[in-house]
Amino acid sequence: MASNTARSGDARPLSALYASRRSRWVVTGVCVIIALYILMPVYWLVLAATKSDSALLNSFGFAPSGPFRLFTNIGNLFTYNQGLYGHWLLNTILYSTAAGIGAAVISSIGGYAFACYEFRGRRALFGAILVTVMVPVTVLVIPLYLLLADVNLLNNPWGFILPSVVSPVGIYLMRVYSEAAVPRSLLEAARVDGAGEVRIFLSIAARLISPGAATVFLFSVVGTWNNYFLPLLLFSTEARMPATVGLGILQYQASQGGTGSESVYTMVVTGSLVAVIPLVAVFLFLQRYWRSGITLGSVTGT
Amino acid sequence: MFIGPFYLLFVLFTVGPLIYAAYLSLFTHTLTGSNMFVGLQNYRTLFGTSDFWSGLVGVVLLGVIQVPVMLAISVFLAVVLDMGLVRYGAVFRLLYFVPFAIPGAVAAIMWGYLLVPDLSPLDVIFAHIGLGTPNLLGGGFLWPALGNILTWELLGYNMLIIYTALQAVPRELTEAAVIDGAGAWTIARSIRIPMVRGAIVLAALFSAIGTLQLFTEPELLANLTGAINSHLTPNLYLYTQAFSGQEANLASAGALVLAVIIAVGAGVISLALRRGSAQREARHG
Repeated sequence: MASNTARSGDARPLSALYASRRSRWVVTGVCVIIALYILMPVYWLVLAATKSDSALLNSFGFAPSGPFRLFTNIGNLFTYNQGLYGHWLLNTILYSTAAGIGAAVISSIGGYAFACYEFRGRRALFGAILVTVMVPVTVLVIPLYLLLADVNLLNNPWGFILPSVVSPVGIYLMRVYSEAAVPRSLLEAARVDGAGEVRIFLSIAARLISPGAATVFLFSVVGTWNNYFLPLLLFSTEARMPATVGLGILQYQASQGGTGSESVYTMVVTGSLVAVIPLVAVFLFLQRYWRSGITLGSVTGT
Repeated sequence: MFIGPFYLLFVLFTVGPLIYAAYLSLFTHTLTGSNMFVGLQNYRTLFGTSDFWSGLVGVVLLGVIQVPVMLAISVFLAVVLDMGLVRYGAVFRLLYFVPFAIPGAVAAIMWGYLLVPDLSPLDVIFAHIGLGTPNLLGGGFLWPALGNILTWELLGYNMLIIYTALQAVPRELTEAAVIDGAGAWTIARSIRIPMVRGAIVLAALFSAIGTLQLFTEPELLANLTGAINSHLTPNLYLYTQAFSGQEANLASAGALVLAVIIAVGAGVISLALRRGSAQREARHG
């Protein structure tokens, strides 16, 4: 019998032994229904973004209707209010990329230090991180807002980026990754050769742990990109808001009714689609990086 | 030296706000604009405010129902995908995970328009089968609607966590059971699922913590339905106090109380779940 461990696909030959054809059909049916449930809102959104203002309001949501207006809608979206939506999208890209790079760099050097050095207070410091892995982040938002208000970082991109860089999960992941990926003997050899610690990290360790850093980068980008609560409190100037908060404003305007609210409604829908596409694309293309993050999540639980 | 940057930011943006909130919670804003020390007055006010507690009861009830339902689906999907009972498992896995890349704000916007009367395409279907046009965001439908959005968002993520744990479990025991002639469901229930209990507990914890902090979805849905007031969830209440109500000190006290409740709750849940499964193991063993 083949030794089956963690590789995916191992289960397939096994399963031939123990499930009837009927139960396979039932299982497949349930899986398809859940897939349809997951896809339903996305399908509706994609269709809605292709419709004209009136078709959006008056046609059946799950069927295409009227002329294909996706590109007109996108054009209107980006010209609305002197290109406000473009600002929002750029802000989102800027904030989440900055937070992602920051989190990846800081978690890498921190995680590497925890994995490869003995120093005083190491256990206590790491314990503090583990505690905050479980502490709810959202609960920090209001205290953080009040603190930032008092140091005049409200309405300032740094007030959003810097807190988003702090990733207890990221440093935990990088510690585990460094322990596995950086051989101690390599470090010893480099030290014998007279290389300084900074140089060892930059020219040897950094390359070895970069796949782990990519995972931290990806999760931090997603977390920041999708954040709504903190930027909602932080930003008062519309041109500095990220897309999530901007879409909330548009959605509010659309719900107020009155003249022009139909076209705002179309913009909410088109803007939502445009804000979602980059991340979904990134996820599809970088599957192996988020998978290692998930693996860690499941391993810590066992 | 290497860990310096992390701890600097960690102290500034994680520990700092908590300490600052603790400090603020002991003061009150006077009419003259200065801060006056009031001791535990804000906590007394908070404990006497039904708006805070009703929100807490709401999210706890939501979590008690929504998290188990969602996890049951996640576990089911993880098990059948792990055992290879479905073809094109990789495609299903990817599909289920898509909502994780979609912001909660966009999820709330999409589901809001899918459920609100007049705009909802479901209306047409309901009218067609003679159910009229129920307000799926109002009255008794509001909490289920919120639970539905949360389930939609996190179903696939939890499925993937459990699936990954299942894939890492050694298969010797399973193979022995197959040889003994055990059916797929017996194997799933008594061998595979118990082995990834830890991952399931972890997924339950993170989901419950998220539900208790519910904010984005009701905040946005409030634009579409009158059924959401400014204290539907604890975070909505605290947001209103801090932002619109100018009650920063009260909100600080509330944020700390909420943090403590969630931390204690998470501890109790994880202990209870671990102990419960240990007992079950002892009975069976």
